[in-house]
Amino acid sequence: MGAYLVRRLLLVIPAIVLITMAVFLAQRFIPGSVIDTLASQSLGTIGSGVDRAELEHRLGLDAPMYVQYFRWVGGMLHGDLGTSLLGSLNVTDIITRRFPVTFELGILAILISLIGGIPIGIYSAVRQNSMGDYIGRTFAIICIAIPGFWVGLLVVIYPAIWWNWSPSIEYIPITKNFGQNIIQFIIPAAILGMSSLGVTMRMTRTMMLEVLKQDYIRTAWAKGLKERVVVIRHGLRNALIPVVTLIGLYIPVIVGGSVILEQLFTLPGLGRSVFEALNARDYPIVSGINLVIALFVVLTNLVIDMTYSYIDPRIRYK
Amino acid sequence: MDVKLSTPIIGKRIKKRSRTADFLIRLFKEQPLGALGAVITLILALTGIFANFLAPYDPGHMDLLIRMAPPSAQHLLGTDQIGRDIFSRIIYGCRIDMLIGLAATSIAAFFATVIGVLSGYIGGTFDVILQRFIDALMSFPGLLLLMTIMTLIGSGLIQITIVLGILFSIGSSRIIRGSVMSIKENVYIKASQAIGSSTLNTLVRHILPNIMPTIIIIFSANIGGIILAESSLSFLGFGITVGTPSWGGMLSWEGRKFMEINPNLAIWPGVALSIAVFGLNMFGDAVRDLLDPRLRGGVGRYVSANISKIKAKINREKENTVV
Repeated sequence: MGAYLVRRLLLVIPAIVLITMAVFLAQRFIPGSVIDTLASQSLGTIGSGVDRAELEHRLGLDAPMYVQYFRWVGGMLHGDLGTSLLGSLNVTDIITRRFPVTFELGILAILISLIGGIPIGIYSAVRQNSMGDYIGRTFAIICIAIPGFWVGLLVVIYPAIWWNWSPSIEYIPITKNFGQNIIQFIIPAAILGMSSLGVTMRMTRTMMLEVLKQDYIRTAWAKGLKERVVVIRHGLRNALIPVVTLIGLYIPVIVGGSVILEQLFTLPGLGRSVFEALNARDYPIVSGINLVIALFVVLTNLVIDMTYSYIDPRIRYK
Repeated sequence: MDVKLSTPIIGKRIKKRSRTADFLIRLFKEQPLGALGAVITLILALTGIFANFLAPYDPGHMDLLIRMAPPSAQHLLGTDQIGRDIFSRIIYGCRIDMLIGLAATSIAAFFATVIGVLSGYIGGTFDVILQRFIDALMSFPGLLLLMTIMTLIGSGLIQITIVLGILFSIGSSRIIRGSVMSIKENVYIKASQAIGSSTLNTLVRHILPNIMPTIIIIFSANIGGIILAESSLSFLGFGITVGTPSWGGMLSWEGRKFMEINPNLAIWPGVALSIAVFGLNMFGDAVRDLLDPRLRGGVGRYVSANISKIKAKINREKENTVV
């Protein structure tokens, strides 16, 4: 177990370093320097007499690239992700304020995909090739093939035509009104979790089918156990292990989808911030959010890999 | 004595089918859903190729007198906010989406092969370092990365095709790398090296033909995801230039207020997109199952400690949910 953890941790460090480098370099490759942006913003008030060299020095842009990189990483370690170009807002503040919205949306989406996908998967595997199995599989395929953004669009448009209803523009925090908050989040979360639900269902079904062919399942049947006990206690426990890994793979997908659904349902989350910042060419916000999310993905995948080896002791000794 | 009995059995002509015919027969026999997918794919391809014969109007043709018209004999699915024929735009959208899909998938397959073969064949430190770069890139959520890159380089048909192609090649290169690593261990590779063939010769003559099925699988598995990614981007306004008919662009969220007046604007491009993604995914799944039985789930013995097998399976599922 120890060796496995160390090896796994060692692989994370280069990934994190490379992520920070990628974000840093992308910031530098953006057409038009910060000075130009600042100059164009202040044009008319000060005139054209901007001392470029002096500004560059004050912003630290005259230092060699690697010095700038380490300064930037140093700032990051102190929780400073820079300030936005428009409105001079603190990027860390924006992220900490908007993270809970995306987090809640993502958690709900993953929960929906698991609560919906696992039971259908079990049913389909236990009653293989029955009518129910075909319906379940078709449902899963439909969930995967239909684009979430389209369903979201229809959900926003049709109720507006039929009942003059549209999603509330005002965001209700979970601390303020739990019920109202869940009502606001449940529809976008369901749409966001739709494709993951299909994948979970297919994965659960495949794994259950394999596990149900094992010797220990035959033994369980032979002992005269009830179907529920055989399927749930002996089968499901083993079949669900790969499904845990799937959760880690859902995170990037769900973050991507949240950009679209937060936009459609006017939720003030990270995805919406990125969308607005990209349209306003406010790059510090874009790179700050990209960085935080990439690090989040790396760390959750690390946690999931560890959980994986914890649930299934056979992995540790490999 | 009957003369017929002495006829040697070996001389009997064995019916030989070409590999393509054999593949098609197996597709229709073993994979009914895949066959349906193949039919949909074929229809999409034909619609794309013959768009200018099938569409009753030019996709850019505006008739400002019949804006937002309901479906009629002249305009099968009605018209949009500036009087363009929705049906014609969907047909031309098929051409654009198929073009982007095919071109981006080709780019993805090409780069995936180059990266995967180099990483898998050279191995060692080179492989370890390259794989860390891929780890880092794969940590960024696809759609977020795509939006960021598209803002930096500007939207357009060629730009989006190249960006999608390169981005999708990263994940797929892992699969190529895996199969190169297992092929590398074969005796014939050692033999080829022993007789002094150059590395390039070994790669082209011995490795490449053996990973061909994997490359085809990557091709067929990615195309649905790429079209979906392009549509999501165009929907958000980061995709191809406004005015070019594409399904995602037609659903673009900017046009929401018009869709509330004429829902036909919102329904039909989405239906076309869903059918296309469904068909391409089903066809891709079937191609994978037919070409590489090792990746197929099912009867094999379940060994939990065999992470790589499970990971391969998970990767396979993941192909369907790229964005």
